[in-house]
Amino acid sequence: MAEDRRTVLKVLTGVLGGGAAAIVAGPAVRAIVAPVTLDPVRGVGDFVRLANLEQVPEDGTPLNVAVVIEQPEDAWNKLPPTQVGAVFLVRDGTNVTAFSTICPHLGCGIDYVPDQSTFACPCHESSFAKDGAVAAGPSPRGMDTLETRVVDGAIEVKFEKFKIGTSDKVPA
Amino acid sequence: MSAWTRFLTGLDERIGFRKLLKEGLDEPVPGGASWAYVFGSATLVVFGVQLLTGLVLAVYYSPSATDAWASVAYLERAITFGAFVRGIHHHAAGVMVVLVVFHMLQVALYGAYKKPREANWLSGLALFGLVLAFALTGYLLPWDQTGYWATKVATSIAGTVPVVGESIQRIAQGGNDYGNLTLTRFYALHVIVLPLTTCAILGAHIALFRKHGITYSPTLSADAAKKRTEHFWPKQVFYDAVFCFLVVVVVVAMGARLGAPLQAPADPSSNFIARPEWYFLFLFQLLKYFEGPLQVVGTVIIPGAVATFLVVLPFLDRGEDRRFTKRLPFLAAFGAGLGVVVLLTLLAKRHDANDPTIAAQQKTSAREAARARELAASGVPTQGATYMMQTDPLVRGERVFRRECLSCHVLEGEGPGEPKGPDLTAYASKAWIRQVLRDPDSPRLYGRTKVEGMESYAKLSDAEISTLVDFVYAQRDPEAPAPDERPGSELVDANDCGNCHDFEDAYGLEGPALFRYGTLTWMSQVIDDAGADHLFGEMNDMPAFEEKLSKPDREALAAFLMSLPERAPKDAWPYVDDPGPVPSPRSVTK
Repeated sequence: MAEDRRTVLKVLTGVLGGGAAAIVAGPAVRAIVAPVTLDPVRGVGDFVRLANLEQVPEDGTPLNVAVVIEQPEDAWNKLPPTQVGAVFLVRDGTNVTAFSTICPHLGCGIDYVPDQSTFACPCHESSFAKDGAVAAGPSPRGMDTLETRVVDGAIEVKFEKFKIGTSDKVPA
Repeated sequence: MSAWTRFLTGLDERIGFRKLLKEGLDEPVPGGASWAYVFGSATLVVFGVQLLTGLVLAVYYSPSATDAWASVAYLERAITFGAFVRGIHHHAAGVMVVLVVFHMLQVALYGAYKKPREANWLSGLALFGLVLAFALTGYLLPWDQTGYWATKVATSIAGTVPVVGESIQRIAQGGNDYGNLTLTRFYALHVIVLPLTTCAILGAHIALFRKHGITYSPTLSADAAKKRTEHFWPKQVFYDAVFCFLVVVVVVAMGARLGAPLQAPADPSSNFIARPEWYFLFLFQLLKYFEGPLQVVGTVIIPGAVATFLVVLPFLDRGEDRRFTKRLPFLAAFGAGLGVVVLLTLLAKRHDANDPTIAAQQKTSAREAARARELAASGVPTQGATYMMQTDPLVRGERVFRRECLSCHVLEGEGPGEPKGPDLTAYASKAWIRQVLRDPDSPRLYGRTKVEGMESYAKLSDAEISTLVDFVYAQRDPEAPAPDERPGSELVDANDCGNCHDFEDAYGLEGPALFRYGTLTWMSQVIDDAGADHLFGEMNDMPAFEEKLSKPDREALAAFLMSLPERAPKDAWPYVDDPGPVPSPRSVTK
């Protein structure tokens, strides 16, 4: 009988202890993992006006332009106009291609090397042809193109980020 | 042997947990398990709750003067369970103070601080001090009005310590005044220094407790206690678990139901009446009794004397006999001390409850807090939350109003004993216009001013008055039909309103032109110069604020006047009905 009573006490103690832990730890853990579905940094994904068509060299030399977002948000802040990234614009007649400067390999910043007419990533020595295709190095895919449109002679680019390190271009 | 048992045995060979468990759980409890012993464990459990919930807060918190408030408001608004977890952390802090006090009382009552347990008692006192330090440093972190002003009082008190006070104050607040360095400092203390110190001393406290064992009730003889000895596990652990569970449930329920307060962002330019958390109120009340050079008695000498008494207690009360009757002077001192704390707390509460200034401020702060959250929902500018509030027309307007207008006008029950101007509660709302139509010379309206000559239209039927009210109210609506095409125009004609008031143009007749009456432009004109020909002309008594106030101040004031109908109590005027929609002042001023 005494042994039964002890068992009941032990089980009840476990239930109470576990219950108390669960009602605090549950919400706490949920709050900590909230970023799984949270997008606190805003201002990416919209079309941004970058340059006028005539500003992009006609000979196809890439133009590096900063992407300025008018009112980005970062968690609790709304920010003044801020440079959130950069884009290469390459012109072919009236067609303009926009390349993200983010290297698909591991996310470093890609430079244009005028002497060799190629794009090169200084981090791990990936290089890309002028059409963005991988020329050499570890990058799993070519440079990411961004959607463009021309409105009243101004080039607008949809500034997006893509998953790093995969052979397919998928939005991040 | 099952796989599980084999695993446990193997594990035990390597880390020796069975011995530890046995030592932890088999501890003999002379006199048997008791509900009197649960407070220490409960304090420990609540400390665990604080570590966990505190981690959540730390993950979303930014310790800078521009960001702190905004980051806390963000946690409350955007993070699932954020407000709930913060509520738990807030209320658990108060519950922890209560538990520590009960734990201390139990120890004191049982004489458990006596030889050889002096070190237990001293380490316990150190932990009590740490709990209070946690409360004090945590209170500032949201950087809201209460935290800011109450903590300022605390660091100023540190500054009154003779000789070293100023240095202590500068070290505590990180320099000459409150700012970024105050927050980084308080944050480091609250999340690194205090938790680590607490863990270390807590370890010693528990180890000492295990070394000396439990102190059984002084009502038991040594023989009786020995005969009734039980093991810590399972009965005492069960008692502890039941009580801890209840405490956690209470704390979680308080967190869920009450949340944690978040006042408007700290504003050094405001005149906020600071009040500490309830468990510090007795210290706050104590300050009131010592003036001028005696101030240090209330801030340092008395609290210091009490602390010293607690420290030397085990060395004063040295008799071996723990029975209550043998220790009456010490128990009486303890009881009296506790009684004084309770009394001072109640006095502080009662004083504030009966103070209309406090009540008025609580209303204003609640409104500012709500406004701050509303503004923060669309993002806080990088200049910070205080800037956000100071540049908001409604907040700024109310501050200008309180400074410049409340000496002549009454607003929502606040104002001068002998008002010189009309009561502006729900100003220009339908209810207010109705009141003017019925009784313009009422002492609450223009009765005490030089404005005169309008007759009362109380003789009209309620329906007719309502039509006139709607007619006047529609003056602010740019979409409304022209006055002579609007319902009520015959009534206006029949009652000769047009003889004194121009409805179609800003032209001065006997009374003020009601052209665009109630719009932001009209409000601004009255503020700029109510004595203008088309307004109150020679009947005007009010200063022309065009010369007294800056343009942003006047714009903010006009926006504030526009917001009055929305916030007025529904029974502000005897004949209040729906005040109707008011254009949002923010959108108007943009």
